[in-house]
Amino acid sequence: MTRTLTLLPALGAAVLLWLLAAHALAGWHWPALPFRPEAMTLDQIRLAFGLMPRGAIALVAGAMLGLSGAILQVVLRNPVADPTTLGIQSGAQLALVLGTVIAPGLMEYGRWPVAVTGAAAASLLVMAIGARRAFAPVTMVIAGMLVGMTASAIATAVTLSQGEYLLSLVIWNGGSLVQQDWSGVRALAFVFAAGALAAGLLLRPLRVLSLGAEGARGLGLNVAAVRLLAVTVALVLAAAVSAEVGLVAFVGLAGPAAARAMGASGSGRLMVLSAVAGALLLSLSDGLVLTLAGLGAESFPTGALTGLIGGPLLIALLPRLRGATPPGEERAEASLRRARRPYRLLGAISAAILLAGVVLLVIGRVPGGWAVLDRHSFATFLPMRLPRLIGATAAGAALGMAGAILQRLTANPLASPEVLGVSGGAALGYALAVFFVAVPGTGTLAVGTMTGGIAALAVVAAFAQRRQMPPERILLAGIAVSALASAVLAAIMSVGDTRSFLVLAWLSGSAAMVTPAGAAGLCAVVAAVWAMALGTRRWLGILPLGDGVAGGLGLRTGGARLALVVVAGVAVGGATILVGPLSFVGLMAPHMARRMGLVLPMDHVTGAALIGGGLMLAADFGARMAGFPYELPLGLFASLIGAPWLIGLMMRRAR
Amino acid sequence: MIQRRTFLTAAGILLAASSSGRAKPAPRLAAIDWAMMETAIALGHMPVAGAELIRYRADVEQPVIPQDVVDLGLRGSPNFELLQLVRPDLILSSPYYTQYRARLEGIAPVLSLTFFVPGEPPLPRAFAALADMGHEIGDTAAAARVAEAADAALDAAAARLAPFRDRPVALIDIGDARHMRMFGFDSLFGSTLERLGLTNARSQPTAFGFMAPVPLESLADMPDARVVVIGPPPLAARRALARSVLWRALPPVTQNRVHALPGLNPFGAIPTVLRFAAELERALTSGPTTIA
Amino acid sequence: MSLFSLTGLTVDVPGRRLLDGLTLDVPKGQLIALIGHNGSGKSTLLKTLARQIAPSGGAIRFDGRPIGAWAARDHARRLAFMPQTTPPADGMTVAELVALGRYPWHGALGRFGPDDARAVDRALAECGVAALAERLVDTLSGGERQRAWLAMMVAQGAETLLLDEPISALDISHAVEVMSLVRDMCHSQRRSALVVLHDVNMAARYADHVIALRRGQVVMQGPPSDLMQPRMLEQIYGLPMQVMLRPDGTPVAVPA
Repeated sequence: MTRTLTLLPALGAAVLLWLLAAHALAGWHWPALPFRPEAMTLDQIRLAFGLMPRGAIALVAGAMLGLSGAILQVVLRNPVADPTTLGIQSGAQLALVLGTVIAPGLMEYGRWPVAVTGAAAASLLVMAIGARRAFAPVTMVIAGMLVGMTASAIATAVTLSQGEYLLSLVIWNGGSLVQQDWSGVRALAFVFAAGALAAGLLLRPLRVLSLGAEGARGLGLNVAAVRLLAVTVALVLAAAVSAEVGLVAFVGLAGPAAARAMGASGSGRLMVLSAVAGALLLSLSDGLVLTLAGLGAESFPTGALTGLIGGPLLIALLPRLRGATPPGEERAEASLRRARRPYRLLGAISAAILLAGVVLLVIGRVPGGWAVLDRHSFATFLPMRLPRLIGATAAGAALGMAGAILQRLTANPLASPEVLGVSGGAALGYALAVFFVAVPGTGTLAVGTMTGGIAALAVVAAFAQRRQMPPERILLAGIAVSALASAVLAAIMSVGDTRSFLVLAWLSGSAAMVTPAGAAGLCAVVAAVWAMALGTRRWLGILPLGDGVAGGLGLRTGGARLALVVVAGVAVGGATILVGPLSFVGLMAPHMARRMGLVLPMDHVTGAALIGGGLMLAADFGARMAGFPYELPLGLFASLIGAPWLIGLMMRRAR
Repeated sequence: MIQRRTFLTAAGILLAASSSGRAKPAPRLAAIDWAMMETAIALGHMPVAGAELIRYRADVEQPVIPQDVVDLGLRGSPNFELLQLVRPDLILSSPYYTQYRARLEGIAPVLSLTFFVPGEPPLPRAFAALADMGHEIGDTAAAARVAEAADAALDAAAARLAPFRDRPVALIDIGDARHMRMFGFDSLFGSTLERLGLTNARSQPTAFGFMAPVPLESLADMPDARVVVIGPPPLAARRALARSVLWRALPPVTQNRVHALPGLNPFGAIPTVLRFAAELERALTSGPTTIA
Repeated sequence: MSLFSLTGLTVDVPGRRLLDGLTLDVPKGQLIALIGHNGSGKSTLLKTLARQIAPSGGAIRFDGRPIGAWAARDHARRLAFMPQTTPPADGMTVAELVALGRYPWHGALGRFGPDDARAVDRALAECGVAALAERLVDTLSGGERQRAWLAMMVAQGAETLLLDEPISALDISHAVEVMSLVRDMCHSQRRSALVVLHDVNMAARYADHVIALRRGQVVMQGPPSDLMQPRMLEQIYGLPMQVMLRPDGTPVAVPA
């Protein structure tokens, strides 16, 4: 209990910061209750209808997110579950973006129904994926982050396509707690009360559920119903906050973490303390934002600030995930089929890609229809098209190989470059180059991107080197790095200016900028990575069998993993410059190779490279043609193909 | 096959012919940047191609872009093949697009002019752009004529707006019920406001009007100001503002000093400047409106 | 010279001591059963000997040298380890799995030569899985799969085999089949095998030598006949046990 007292300084600090802001506004002339605007000075109105509801909403929203995170962690028995890591908030974000752009009429009735629908769709997807794998914590978080990343990527692309005119979305993405009356507080307080009541009623079933699904079922508990109800409560709490104040990330992760640090162990105390800790955390963050704004610094949305805590916090929580994955639950779809003649199959795929490449070189759209290039046009267009086609194919091949290597390295079918954090780091490096170099040239941008990717890789590799680090933990370290990178990115963008759109445009990827030298360089990267895979093919065969077997065979797993992570990182770093951080090709290609029966390490890696190249070639063609003359972002187009495929794959019953 | 080839050549000819109605062979301009496009239009040289025209026609409306101007796709990633097909004599760009300058230069000469420099009012640069572009396309006469006419129009507007010099003007763009964007002296609108002899209520820079959104209640710090809202606020924001105690308590709102302007391109050039001046004059002289 | 020689071996995890100052010599050339109650430290001891877990204190010598002094591949040529749950060998054939056993000999880049091919063939034959060589490992029955993994260890060429509960998931007929195979591997090829077993009767029936642990300490080591005494069994398992004789004279232990 005494450890709970550590909350008091935080409470004191939050109250103090708020009082400072209040004092700056109205001195000691506080308005008397009940508030009657007509009898108040303007500053009193600003205090009573601006600052006071703002302080209140920080407490209520923080408590809601803390409670939501605690419920999710209890029901999923997963210490890193929260509305952000499970993709719930990104689902709400995408729904609101689509609502604003496609059906502004819908938004007239408020953001609530739209946000809740989006959040529900996202979490339904994540839960459906998780259910296939017994809600294994690592799988849940990876699936949640993938769904979340896809949703935000689509949301980003839509925002981008609307130019600067979606000011309301930019504001919402930042998660600002500014208030102008008590309506938001009233609405959230109502949801919070209902949610807390529901959580209280669910407490006893949840305690039984903490025995595990089998045990709970044995005690006569309707496990599915309890899970559904509990997740729904958590979802509505988080979606309500999203709808009212926007994206406030990771408070649902930090609240329960603080509660546990204070020694909360039972479900009941965890929920109560998480809500309290969440409320204080958000209040404290908002107090800091208020103080900074009071000091004349640029206005900075509170949600962007809390986002910054996510990455470090995830990394700090990793050791808690000990033994979190039930054995055998994370295994890949058993591929009982094997290609009888893998070389012939690989040859056929190569031939198909070559043929497609040649065809794509000579056909294309012109205003008014399709055309095959005549000789003159061909000569004119070749210098533009060839590097682009080669570059896109090479990027796809690099991603495919990186994915195959990572999936073998971790024995986790959800491993992909997106998850490794390299993409996120590279994106951050690009953004920093754009923001801190006056007129960045292509060279500067490439250096920034590479540096960012390598820095992210260094952090992840530091984790890979630790003894007894299960490979899936490396993935989570990668996710943490991604989360940090995207939070910093969001923070930069929320202060944004025109440069933000440069970064946004790149984030969704385009192959249009590839120079012949760039394409050649990427081909060299692909060749080097393939050669390195060839050199490490035996590790790639042994590592999927786990540490016990690999160590028993005399393989130094730490060193082998480090080497392979670096190889994958180089491949991803090179490809990211071209296609942006998200494409899912690195996830799709290895799976497709596998399903074609390419099982042995080198067949698998080579097949993944070829299929990845083919996918990216197709994506580039689609991106250029679908909205002609508007060139859609390459990475986005690829993930539009990849996301449904991925979902289908994960929904398929394992075994 | 032959049919298609003929078609492609025909398309090329069509594109090449689209603005050749002039007596003197005018340079074929392709605009990536909207401010450059507006400058060209002001000079009477309608580009043969421009970027993101769908958005421009929907949001900016004036000046009207004829339907035969080829849309080059997104400003952030223009369609280079189409640009090549258009065969421009000069590509109009700006420092925002330096990352693909080399690619553009491979297609045609590039004229890149700077409108927005941190901490500087953009209006003089918009005027300078007229002269620079006029020089580049060999039509200095048009440049001088247009600059003179614009100056005269702004002088006249300033004279008519003289009665409104008693109060500062807050130029804002409403994002949602709680936030707005402000246009300071370093924005095109703010810079034009000063040219018209009016005072901007916001004295700090605003990153050309692209600064992070600020809370609406910061309007309370400028109680004397006339508030000019540029562009229609989102529907949901309008409804929420109507109920908001704080908004209704703001002095410019209680004292009926809110004026509404239609949507304008914050990153435009002389045509936008003139349109802003005219709309501002209309809005201020025709009296306040309730936007919520 | 003994196979392993332990002095004061201690293994800790945060908040718990798994092995508490173990000092013992493990003889060579025998099938040795490691037994004890759940949590007695028998699997921990096996994994420590296999270098899967680092000791927190004490010393282990393997074949006369400190175990840390062996280079990874040298070590693997002498000692093979099979984890308790064998991982899914996704899409791999039996022959390919067994060929992985040659890694300590050819390494990451070395050629898979005729010697390696012969070793694989011999291993397949010795473990009776030659007929299954082209089958996918994941399509085999439990007993066949264990034999395939044993064949991988044989191909590794190691003289010392460490097996962690190799029969816990098998039905009785497969368990007998696998244990007989392990015994033959020891006796006919002069290998040593250290096998964690939780069935005391299987230990008594197949082992040449038994090491029993209780709460991280050795309670007995010696021939199976020493083990099959009611008092000794009660000391190991903390439960009164009765030992009965079968018609052929072999003892069977049951809870009293």
